[in-house]
Amino acid sequence: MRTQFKRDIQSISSVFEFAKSFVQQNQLDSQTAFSLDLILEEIFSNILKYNKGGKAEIGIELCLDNNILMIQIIDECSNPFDFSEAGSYDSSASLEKRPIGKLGLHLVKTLTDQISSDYQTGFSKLTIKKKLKELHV
Amino acid sequence: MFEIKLTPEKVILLSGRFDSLQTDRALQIFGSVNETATVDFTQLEYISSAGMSVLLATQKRLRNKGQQLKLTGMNPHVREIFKYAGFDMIFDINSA
Repeated sequence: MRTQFKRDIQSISSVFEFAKSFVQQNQLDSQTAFSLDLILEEIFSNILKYNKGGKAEIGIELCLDNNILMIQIIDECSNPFDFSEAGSYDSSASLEKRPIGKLGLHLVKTLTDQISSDYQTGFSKLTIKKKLKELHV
Repeated sequence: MFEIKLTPEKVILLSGRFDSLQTDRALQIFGSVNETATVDFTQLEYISSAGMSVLLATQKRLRNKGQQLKLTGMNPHVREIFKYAGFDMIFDINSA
């Protein structure tokens, strides 16, 4: 499944509907559904946050292959971006030292098994893979 | 659908989905809290880092006054995310 979404935070509701259709179509469990929504929201909002001037729509593709959920997020109007260089989040820091930001990408990293990013002159593609449990539903 | 309500007993009731679109409304309620309060997650289905950041900012502000947010009633998915974030170390959490 692939769909394009308007570059606006209001699109997040449509992103959730798209994810819900995929979950229902593949009979995925509620934990996977929760994780999928979270991953998509964090990445989508992060793209908007760090590239406000972009005009192109953002593409999201979801597929399931051999019990591996693959999420691709494509931005054809991207700033140079390397996910591996995204700042780390110290989840053991005290309340006083805990930053308000950076949590989203930390959660994405925690919830997934493999993340790779590819950037070429304004075109970025983020590929995320998550192994699912053997039993769905 | 997201709902947030502050009761006279200083319980903040959350329900639905606390995502990026809901932070402004949530900040109005959390920003009005100046004493220790309980946040009831019983009817909350989903929360992202946007919602968690509202809780974190409130906890920082309250702790400076010797007060705090106490969290209760999380479903297992929300509880897991809070654990991954290390929020179980900075909040008093009682699961459902």
